[in-house]
Amino acid sequence: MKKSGLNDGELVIKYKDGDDNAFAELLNRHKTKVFTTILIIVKDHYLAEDLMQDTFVKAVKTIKSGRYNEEGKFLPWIIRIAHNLAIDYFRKEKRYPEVDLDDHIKTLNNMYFSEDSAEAAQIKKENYSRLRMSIQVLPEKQREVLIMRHYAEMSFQEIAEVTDVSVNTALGRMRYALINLRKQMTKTPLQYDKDAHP
Amino acid sequence: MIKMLTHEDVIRYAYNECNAEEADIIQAFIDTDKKLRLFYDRLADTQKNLDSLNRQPSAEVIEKILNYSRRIDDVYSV
Repeated sequence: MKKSGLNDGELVIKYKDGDDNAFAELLNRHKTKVFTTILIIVKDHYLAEDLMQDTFVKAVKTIKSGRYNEEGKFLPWIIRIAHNLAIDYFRKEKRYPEVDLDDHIKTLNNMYFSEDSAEAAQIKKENYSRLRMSIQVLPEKQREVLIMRHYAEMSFQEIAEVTDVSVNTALGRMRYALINLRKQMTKTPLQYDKDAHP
Repeated sequence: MIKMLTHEDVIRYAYNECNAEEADIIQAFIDTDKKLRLFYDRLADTQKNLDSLNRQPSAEVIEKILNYSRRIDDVYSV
């Protein structure tokens, strides 16, 4: 697909005015970040795809009805939709994704790592699963900041405004999220340090 | 002006949220302070790991979203 060189806000306006290619470019630009954010929260690839569809359907409806008002901040906006839909799914179902390493590995078998040697693929799969599970078990506020900063590319100032805390608190939560992730990646069994959060 | 460097300053630096002057100062601290160097290296390693989680949705789901985005044009253009 040919890239237009337009920013997100300009693409949103063009799509609202009937240019379908503008939406295709927005989708192509952000599909990986949106999908990864959902996949980190839910543990099922197919469920993540369903929720990704719901996310973009909601975005399309908002844009087309003229209710989009994010002034160029498309990615943080759509990541928030994705995050909320994923969390809502588990609230409605009254359950949260179980942390099960074996299940992760089964799901991932032959899905992403087919080009590696068997041993290298196994190590990658285990690291992938461990990291994703480590994010899932982070305290909610730490996980929220981590996703907003790393995947939604929001600044700490923007995160502070959205979550109604100071920039220092947002930074502190990120720090503890990174410390807890590091701890999780180097130990078993999977637990987070309940004392290590602001 | 940074008086005393904190881990939070290093995090801002790692996520490119410092101005040029701050970045120079933080880099100088990292180059000379072993503890900060270790913190920064671990942070960079974690960032790389987080990047490795990036996954693509299937072409099928992308097509479904694109189809929906085209169909809804008909609704709003009536």
